[in-house]
Amino acid sequence: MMTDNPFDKVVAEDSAEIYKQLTQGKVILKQHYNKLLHQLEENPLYTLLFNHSTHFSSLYQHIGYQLVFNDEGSFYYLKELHDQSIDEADKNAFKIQVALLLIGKHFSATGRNLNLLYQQDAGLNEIDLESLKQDHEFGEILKAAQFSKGWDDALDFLTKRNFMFQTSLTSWFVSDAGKAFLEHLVNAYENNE
Amino acid sequence: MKKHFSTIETLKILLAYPRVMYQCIEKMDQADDRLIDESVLAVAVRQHIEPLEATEQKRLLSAFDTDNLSHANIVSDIDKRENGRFLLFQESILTIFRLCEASLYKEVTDAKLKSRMASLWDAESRLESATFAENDPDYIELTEDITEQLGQLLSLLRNNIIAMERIGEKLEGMTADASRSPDKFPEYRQTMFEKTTHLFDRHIKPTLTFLDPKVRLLGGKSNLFDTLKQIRERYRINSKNNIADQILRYDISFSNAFLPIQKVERQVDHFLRKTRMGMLQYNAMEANYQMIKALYAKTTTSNLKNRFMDGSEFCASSKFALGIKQHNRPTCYQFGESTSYYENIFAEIELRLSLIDSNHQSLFSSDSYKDETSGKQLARAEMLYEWLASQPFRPTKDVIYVLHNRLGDWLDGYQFADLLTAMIHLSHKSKWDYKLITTNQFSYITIDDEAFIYRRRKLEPAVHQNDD
Repeated sequence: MMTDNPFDKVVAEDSAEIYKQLTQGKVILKQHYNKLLHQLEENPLYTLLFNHSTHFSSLYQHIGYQLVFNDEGSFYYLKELHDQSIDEADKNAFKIQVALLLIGKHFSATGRNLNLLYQQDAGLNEIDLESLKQDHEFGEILKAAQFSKGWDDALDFLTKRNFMFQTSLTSWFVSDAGKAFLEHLVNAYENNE
Repeated sequence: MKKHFSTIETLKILLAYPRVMYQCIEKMDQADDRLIDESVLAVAVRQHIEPLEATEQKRLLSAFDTDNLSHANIVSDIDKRENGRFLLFQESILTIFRLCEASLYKEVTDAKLKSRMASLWDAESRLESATFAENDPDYIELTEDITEQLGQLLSLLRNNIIAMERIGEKLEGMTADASRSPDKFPEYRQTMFEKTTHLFDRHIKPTLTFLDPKVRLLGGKSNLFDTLKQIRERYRINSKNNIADQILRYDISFSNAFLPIQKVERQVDHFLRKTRMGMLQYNAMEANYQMIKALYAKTTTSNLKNRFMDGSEFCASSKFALGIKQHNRPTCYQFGESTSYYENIFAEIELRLSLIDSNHQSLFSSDSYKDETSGKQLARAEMLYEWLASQPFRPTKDVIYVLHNRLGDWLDGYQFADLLTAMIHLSHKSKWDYKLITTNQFSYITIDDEAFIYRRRKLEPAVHQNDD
């Protein structure tokens, strides 16, 4: 009797697209921003990953990776199973965290609720960017986090990896993945961790 | 008797272990005192010398000894009180330590600003009767006094701004508990309001008023900017334009200080309007920002290699997105199966075969467009090598210059590349009676219209080990 082949249940093109995005260092989010329609929509790739998570986990395990699921932010990303260069990988995580933290700090210091940062029609605008760029201390911290070109570099880094979405030339909002980090900080603070 | 150090040596040791003084100044400020308790200093020193070696411990104990401190004029007076001795440190010493540690800055109080203003008014009135003559010592002293006052005032305000910009940290500290507990929040809110209002009224508002160009003072006295303007006018009328310009620059610096303080004022205002959730978010961001700032501070040490923050601990505690990075995807060999693909391969093979047949020199270079010149270069180099073998050499201090002259005489269309070829050939030459030594002296030669700077190379007789 033939056994069920899990590969038969997944469309190869979709799986290839997932592989492409994951190897580009992106996170695959439940809700993705559609640039053409200017709206958040369900991400079919996420649904596919979620529905066949056992298949994908073992697929990536077989080629030396670990498919990591973050349940707070509902997103997937790829990490090496036995990472030789853990330093570089942690450096990326740190860069993401520093940039998100500075944005969060700016937002709360200017009297706004962080929830606005996660909304497509609010988020970060031109004036925010200007004031972030003018803050000398932020600039120095970004450089020390290896963003050599400051904010342009940092925003680019975050959007390329789907931690933020760019809605126009001068406006951005933080994705569920970025939100997960900032909310984690707030929760940890509340529980005094 | 313990050894005494000079003032500079003592100060060096004080600065090498700054935590001792930081701790004492903090305690002094907490007690609202102007003097440091000798026992507090002793405790701080004991704490800090514990991990040190015995000789270093001794050195520190001698330096921080009260006798030594007063001998080195770092402590200017000792006050004997009921509960022990208290040391009056020189104000300049305390200022240095406050400068190094922003949390030790003292905010300027209303009273301090008022006394500064009063002495400026006084200077202005003295200026009314001044002679403005360069040989009048009274006038010279008055001018010096005015510029000194303005300089001090500016640095006072600048430190004050730095202290105020740490407001986020203070607000976080004051409201940490309140924001964490939803039940007690309303109760906490009242005390939090009081504390914040106190901070605002006693420290931010006085400076803001002091620097506000539109403010009117009681009794019709002129404000800082009007006073500066009047002083400036007096100098201007008496054609002392240099000093007037200098005062104008101070004026500009003072007005620049207004904006950052206004920003702080707005931040406090936003803060007071926050809900518990907003305040919790604010505090969480601020607390984590302080951690990042501490990491950043570690990069500002004198170690030049240490340019980037070490985020490993921060990441280990947040555990967010660890291990995320781009991965290399396997690249594929571009084999094709179409007719044109095979035609291309055969055409390429034919081309290469015909090249080998027509001119064997092309073996030396695969870039066909360079074939001609590279073939010529090869011939030229071979000619050069033969010529070099025939040249007599003797020890010289600058073999490059010697070669440059000889080549210029001998070779038609002599180029820099020829000299380079010759030098490389000589430096690789084995079993030669001479050896080349590169020096650290620089020299230059000119070929056609171009000059080349080079390091001189000496030619010396080689000493072979198996000479005997």
